[in-house]
Amino acid sequence: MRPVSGSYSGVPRWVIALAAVGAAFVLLPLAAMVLRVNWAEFVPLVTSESSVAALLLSLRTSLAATALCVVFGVPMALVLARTDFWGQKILRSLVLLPLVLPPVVGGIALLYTFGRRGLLGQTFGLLGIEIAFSTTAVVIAQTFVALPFLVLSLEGALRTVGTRYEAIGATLGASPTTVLRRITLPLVLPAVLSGAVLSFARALGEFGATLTFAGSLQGTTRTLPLEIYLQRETDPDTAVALSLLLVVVAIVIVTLAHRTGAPFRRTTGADS
Amino acid sequence: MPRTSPSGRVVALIGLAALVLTGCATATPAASTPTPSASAAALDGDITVFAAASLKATFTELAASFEAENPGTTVALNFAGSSDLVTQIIEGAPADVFASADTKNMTKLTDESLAAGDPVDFATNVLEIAVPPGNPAGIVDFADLASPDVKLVVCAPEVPCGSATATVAAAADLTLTPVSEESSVTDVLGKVTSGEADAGLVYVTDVTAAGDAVEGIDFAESAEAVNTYPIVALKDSASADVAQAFVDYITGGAGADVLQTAGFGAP
Amino acid sequence: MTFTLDLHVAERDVTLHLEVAAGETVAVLGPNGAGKSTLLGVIAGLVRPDSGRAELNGTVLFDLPATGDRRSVWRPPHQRSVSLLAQDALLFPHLSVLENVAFGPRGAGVPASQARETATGWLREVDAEGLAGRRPAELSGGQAQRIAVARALASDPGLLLLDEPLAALDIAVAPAVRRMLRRVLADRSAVIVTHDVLDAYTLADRVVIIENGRIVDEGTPAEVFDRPRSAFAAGLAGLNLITGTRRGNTLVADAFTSIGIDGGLHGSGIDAAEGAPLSLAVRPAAVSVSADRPTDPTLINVRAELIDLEPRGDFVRVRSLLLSADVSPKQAAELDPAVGSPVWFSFPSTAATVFPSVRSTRLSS
Repeated sequence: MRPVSGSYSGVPRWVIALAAVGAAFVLLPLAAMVLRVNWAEFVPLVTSESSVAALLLSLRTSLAATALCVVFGVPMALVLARTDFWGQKILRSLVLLPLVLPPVVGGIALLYTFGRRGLLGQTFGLLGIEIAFSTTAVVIAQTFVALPFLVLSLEGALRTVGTRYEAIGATLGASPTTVLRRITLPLVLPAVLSGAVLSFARALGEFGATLTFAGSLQGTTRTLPLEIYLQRETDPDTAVALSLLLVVVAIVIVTLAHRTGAPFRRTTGADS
Repeated sequence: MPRTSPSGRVVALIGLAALVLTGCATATPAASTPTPSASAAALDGDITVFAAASLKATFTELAASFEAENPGTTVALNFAGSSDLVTQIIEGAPADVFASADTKNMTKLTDESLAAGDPVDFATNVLEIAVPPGNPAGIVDFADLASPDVKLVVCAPEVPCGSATATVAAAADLTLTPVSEESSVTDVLGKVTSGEADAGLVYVTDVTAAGDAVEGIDFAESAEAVNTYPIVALKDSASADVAQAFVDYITGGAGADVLQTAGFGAP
Repeated sequence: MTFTLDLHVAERDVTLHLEVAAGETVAVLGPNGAGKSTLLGVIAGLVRPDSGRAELNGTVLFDLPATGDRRSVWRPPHQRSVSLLAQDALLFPHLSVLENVAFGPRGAGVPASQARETATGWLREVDAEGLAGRRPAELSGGQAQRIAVARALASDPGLLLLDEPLAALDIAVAPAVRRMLRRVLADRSAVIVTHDVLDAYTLADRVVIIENGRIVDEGTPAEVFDRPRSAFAAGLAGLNLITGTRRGNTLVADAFTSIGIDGGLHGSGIDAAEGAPLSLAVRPAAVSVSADRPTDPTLINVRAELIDLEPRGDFVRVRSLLLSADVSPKQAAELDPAVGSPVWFSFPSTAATVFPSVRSTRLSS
């Protein structure tokens, strides 16, 4: 292994060996899947009516969920990183809970909230809003599981940036809203972008909560992961082809997130 | 190794519960022919049974009584969708017995020449309408399911319960417009028990298993799609005698009793 | 009076009173942890004191009564007209130099073109007009601090706060930035926290010394540093300070040390009343050290234990509890065995100043 740009790299060989095993552990299943792809039929399989419907639905709902994550996640991260109130630590743990919760549990929780007989669902029902079995339900499920990703990455970035720039901005006469708009958000923009990309990826991969909460109907609630799960029953070739499609999309997203995650260079430290 | 399945019955005479079960077994002609030479040998070995998810309750009960009757044996159970199980077995999963919820998936197994003998049908299942308690949408018969006001959840045509649904609907000349086509019976049932859906099409056994959580409504058209459950011991089993004994036990009288109580029909 | 402040921070044990006249620049000096940064934070609105009151040009910045007899007032930072210039320039990294300077006016609702004009004017003022289009990452430390000054002034603050503005700068660029600050602070109300006597002399009209959260001395730079009342100020000014009481013609520092003040010393302390607190200041460079008592009658001799030798470039500082002396390395080497023993510290009486320990001018605390 070549050390980074000629500088000293004190990584012991056995660490490299373990890292290689770890990498193989992640990469081999992907390779195994690629080997199973029926390349002759690949294009027809992924362009079939149900595949295209599932892909488009996935993209549409994931984008909507990402937008919701930004709209609500940025304020949540700001409140968690910049304010101090009783019970904040507990609130943070709870807000981040969907990260560790099995998605199906999330789905059940959503069902009891937005379902026909749920906490809010009953009220919505009286207003003539039906969430169950609708695309809205998919977006809700995706937002639920994806929101913590944005909150977590943004809160960390906000803490790293610190409040010094914001304090200076305030003493220059800028109101809190102006400081937010012209200083805080531009400074953490890379984290907002990478957080949004991660949220999008999580939303795209959402399966358990959607299955439990939204149902599965082509073009309405059957997203790509649900389509894969269903096709696997009868048509493994389609399932594998769609899986590969999802993997490719995921790789593109992870690359994007890596690119946008680079922080600003700081001003201080340079001397004449 | 000779087939020693009847010896199980001999050993079972020790147990009180076994007495009853043995009585049933001997009364059932479907039970395999006793092999006198093996009657003295006790069954000994561990087996793993791959069974369709809908068999969870019945097979759990039957495995326990089988073990009680044959103290030298243990039965490990693995429940999942039949197609999942077949895939796993073909990929080399260590199974000794396979019980499928349909003949299609069993055929996949026999096509790969993995079965020790011919599969034996041991139960049937038909569709039933499941509605939430109180039947809020007032469903009476199969035709009611086609109403646009009814939120109907069914299995996707790709899975066995869904193809049965399609068969029944076609026979009844009814166009169903479900709000969701789920990948499994469990998911359909979940939507009904939670009250999200007004009605769902599941198997009779699922309605029975769900207890008070749902109400079942029989309908005549269900006879158009009868699902047959076959079971077979696997060729590569390390405890072939125990595996075959278990298959015999399921297809025998003890199995039939438990299965029928759960709502399964006779093959 | 432009600015008045009373404040009390219990947690950090800070109790201060400070006034800044219109156009006056006040330098605040004190050891680390004395409460200087807290002071600036409170004025800027970034730190909330337990109680206190501040008023700037007739506007109440905050009024936090110790008892609940008045309604509390706490103006947020952006409504105070108080700009803060920190040790680090803290230029907004995502904005160009011009946008940084125009930030204050833009936030105040000035149209973009006019704000740019104002910003360009201030960049000219700090000799940095040519940097307008650069990004902060492309600036040297000195350049960045110039821009930070321009940015702080562009918001037209009623009071400018400077927190060690030159401390982070390279020695080579600090003088030029200091000259620039002297120019722009000339007729501006400002409070500058610094560690540097030179900053105080060049930039401040008045000096305030804070120790342990209290003001221990204040006056013009010359008053405070030529006749220091605190060990801290004496140390900053590079002076030995011996404090004691007048007894007859001597300054009695402690049970073992009394110094005759009738033989050629100068300073206002000569005329101090019997029993008055008296201080004596002398530069270490004027002090010599010897093992035996010098015979020269014009010298004042103090016997004290030699504590240590501290190399300082081309000379060595010889310390005792009372006095320090700067000697050559060669002489220091000869003194080395004497560390821990009493030696004679001597200085010509003409090199010392005696003055009353309590300043006649108002002392606020």
